[in-house]
Amino acid sequence: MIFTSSIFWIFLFIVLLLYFLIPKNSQWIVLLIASYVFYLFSGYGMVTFLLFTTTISFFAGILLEKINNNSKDYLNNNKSLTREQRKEFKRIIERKKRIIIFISIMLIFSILGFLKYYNFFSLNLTTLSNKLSVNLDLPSLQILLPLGISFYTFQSVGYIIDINRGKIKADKNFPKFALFLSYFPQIVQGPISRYDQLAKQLYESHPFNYDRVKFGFQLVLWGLFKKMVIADRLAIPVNNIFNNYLEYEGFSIFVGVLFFSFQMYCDFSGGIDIARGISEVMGINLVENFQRPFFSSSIDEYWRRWHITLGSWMREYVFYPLSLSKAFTKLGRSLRKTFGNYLGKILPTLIATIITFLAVGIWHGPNWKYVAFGLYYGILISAGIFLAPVRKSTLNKLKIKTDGFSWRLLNILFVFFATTIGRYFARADGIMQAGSMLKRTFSVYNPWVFFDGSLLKLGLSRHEYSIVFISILVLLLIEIFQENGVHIRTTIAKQNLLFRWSLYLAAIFTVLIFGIYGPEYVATDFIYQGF
Amino acid sequence: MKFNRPLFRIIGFFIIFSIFFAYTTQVFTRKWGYQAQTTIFYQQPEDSIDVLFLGASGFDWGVSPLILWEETGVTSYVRAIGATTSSMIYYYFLESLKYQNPDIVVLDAYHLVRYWNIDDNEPSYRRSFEPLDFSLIKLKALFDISKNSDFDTFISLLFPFFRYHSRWSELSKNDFVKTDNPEDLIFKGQFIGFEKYEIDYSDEFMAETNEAKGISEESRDYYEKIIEICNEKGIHVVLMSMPRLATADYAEYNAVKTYAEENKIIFVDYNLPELMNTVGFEPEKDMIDSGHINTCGAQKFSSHFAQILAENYSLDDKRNDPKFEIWDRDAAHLRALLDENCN
Repeated sequence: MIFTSSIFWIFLFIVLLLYFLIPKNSQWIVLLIASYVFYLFSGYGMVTFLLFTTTISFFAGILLEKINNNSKDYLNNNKSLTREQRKEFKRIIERKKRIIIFISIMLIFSILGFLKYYNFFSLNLTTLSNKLSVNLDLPSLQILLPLGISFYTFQSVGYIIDINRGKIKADKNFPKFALFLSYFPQIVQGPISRYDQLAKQLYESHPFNYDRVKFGFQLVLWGLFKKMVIADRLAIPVNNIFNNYLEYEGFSIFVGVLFFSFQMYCDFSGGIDIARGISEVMGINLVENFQRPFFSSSIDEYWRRWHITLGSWMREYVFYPLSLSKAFTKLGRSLRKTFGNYLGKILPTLIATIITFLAVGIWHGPNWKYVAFGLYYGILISAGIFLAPVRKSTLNKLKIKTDGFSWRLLNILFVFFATTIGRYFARADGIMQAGSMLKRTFSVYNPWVFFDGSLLKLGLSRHEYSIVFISILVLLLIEIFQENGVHIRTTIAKQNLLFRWSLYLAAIFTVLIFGIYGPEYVATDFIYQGF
Repeated sequence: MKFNRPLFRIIGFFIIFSIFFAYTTQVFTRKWGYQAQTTIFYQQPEDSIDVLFLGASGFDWGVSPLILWEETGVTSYVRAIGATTSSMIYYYFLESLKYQNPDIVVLDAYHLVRYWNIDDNEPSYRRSFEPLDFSLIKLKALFDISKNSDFDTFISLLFPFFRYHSRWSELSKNDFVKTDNPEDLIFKGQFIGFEKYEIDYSDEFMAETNEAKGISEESRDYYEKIIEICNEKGIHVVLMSMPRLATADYAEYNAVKTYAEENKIIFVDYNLPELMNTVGFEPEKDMIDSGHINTCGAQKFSSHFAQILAENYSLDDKRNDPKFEIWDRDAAHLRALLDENCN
């Protein structure tokens, strides 16, 4: 049941009706039932995996909290213990907790690992073994990936770690906790919410609020515009170029990848806007997952604006634990001795950065192209950190002004170009195709494709291109306003009724008329639904 | 009562949206060319039609209600949609009975031996379904014809805009303004065309055989429902097949003949060579394309069918009834066209 299907809107209408009509303290029950009904639409068997992860993380949370509380009580009741005895007690407790965390996270990750990565490993191990003449023949399995598994897995792992860190209290109510992991607007493609950001809102009651409902639907409409008018339309030439890349070269391929940049952004952020909008209607604020990433002036900033919740999850649960780990501290010390203070200080950070982005890449899917994708960004950001002093001194020496608009624009264009290169890996079927497409792009100079009608052979007519360009222009304008601190929906709300309603009708009919949907077209699923 | 401003706003916005949506639907919905036939049917005075022709395009081109009028004084109307299905013939029958109480219903025999679902032939369903005014019967048809398809088909039949929204780049004046030619509207559902198509049809056409093609189970069900209602209401049923020189075959004829005999129904198959000879059919002059006869041919077949009606049924001759004067005027118009184009 994708967000753009008619069945989803009927489902949503029923859910909203029930949500606002039943007693307010039972709203969470409606959400829980709706979430599981929504999930069941993706396949009856799939719900087992969700329930398994829910059960493991729920009991792990309770167990961890119990150990935390018991140990505190024990220490409070035994104040006569010596410092050494306390230390020893804490060490035992930490060990116990680590065992629980290790087992629960391993169980949760093993499901994700097996379902998502088994075939990848079996294929690569078989290939490797054949090369080594061992002839290991691991079978390839027909595995259907449960909807949103990467999202709820990360959410549940984050929950366990946060309890261990004492940041949150364990949830004692299983159905409520099940809602936290299965909440239907976000399970399709995120955002990856933290327990302290989302859970309380899900359990609280939310009376009908006209302004909030209006704002929510405006956000939904904006998301639909991005997804159905821009992303699904651009999918046509993008699929054409990537599926037949050997027929294209030079600028034709680059244009295809450029289109993919917009497609992916509009698809993913559009889906998130729909999820956030639906939640807003119900009085629930989901965290933002995008903050106009195309306005980033550094790669590092880009990853703080693009898929924000994945980036922050990785920072919180991979990067910091890794760079602050004993092993990395030791590594830093030894590197300082060998390479001096500067390198000794930043090398562990660079290594942790590369590992984190490798994890980001692998999170996206079981394919070497994602490994390359992760490494690409890891190396790019590490290079940025490593070369920062050189860059600074060069800019000073050349007396280049860095506080003006032109410098920011130049950086924005560079980041856009660099991320576009990254998308060769994200969209190609494999690393070989990505490499071949990169080679075909930069080995041929053919700017005439912009003028000789070649682009009109990619599946979009002149009319369709007009729609794409006007829509992207609207998107760009809105984002420039947002970038300058204008809250679009509040600004619209201040206008008179005639203007507002005309705008709403124009927006609705733009989506209804120019959106790609219905039997004639097979609307593409949300790209991030597959992760 | 407390004034609930948000509620009134929601209702107000919904009403305005619905008005725009209805207009947009009207503009975007594909114009099939059958709307006039349906609209004019609704405009016929209640209980004024004696014979109702229900079927596919063979009837549109081959049956001339005005010739029947001219020869027998019987009023008739053609409600036939290109490549329709027996299910839609059934719903057209039910819908027609809301407005008319005919003495005879002539059904297209061609559809007894074939049937397709909406997913196999969507245009034929949409052509039939979309011109109908909204009613409970249309709703019943909607549930019935979409029962084996997906939910999106159901929704897009209910709201055709969702099926046609992508027509935005091909909209023309015809989509915004009604451009029905008033002359097309006076022939009681018959399509008028005098172009000639010389058909070179197979020597094997209607070669006699003892074989019988199977009758479609689905079609049998729908036709039996029609026959049952007709029996209850005292309406006579006739099965008829118009010339289909490219596709007709004797095995189909055998199947329908047996069916007609079992149900004690008159079956007229104008694909039988001897009947064609009796009618005076000239394939080189009377076809408009490979599957349909032109208005000159329709005159011959309708004239023959008028005789069948006169011989088998006692229907009132309304030619001297002042309430039906308009039929004389329209028939005279058709006669002038025939004289001009068919001699």
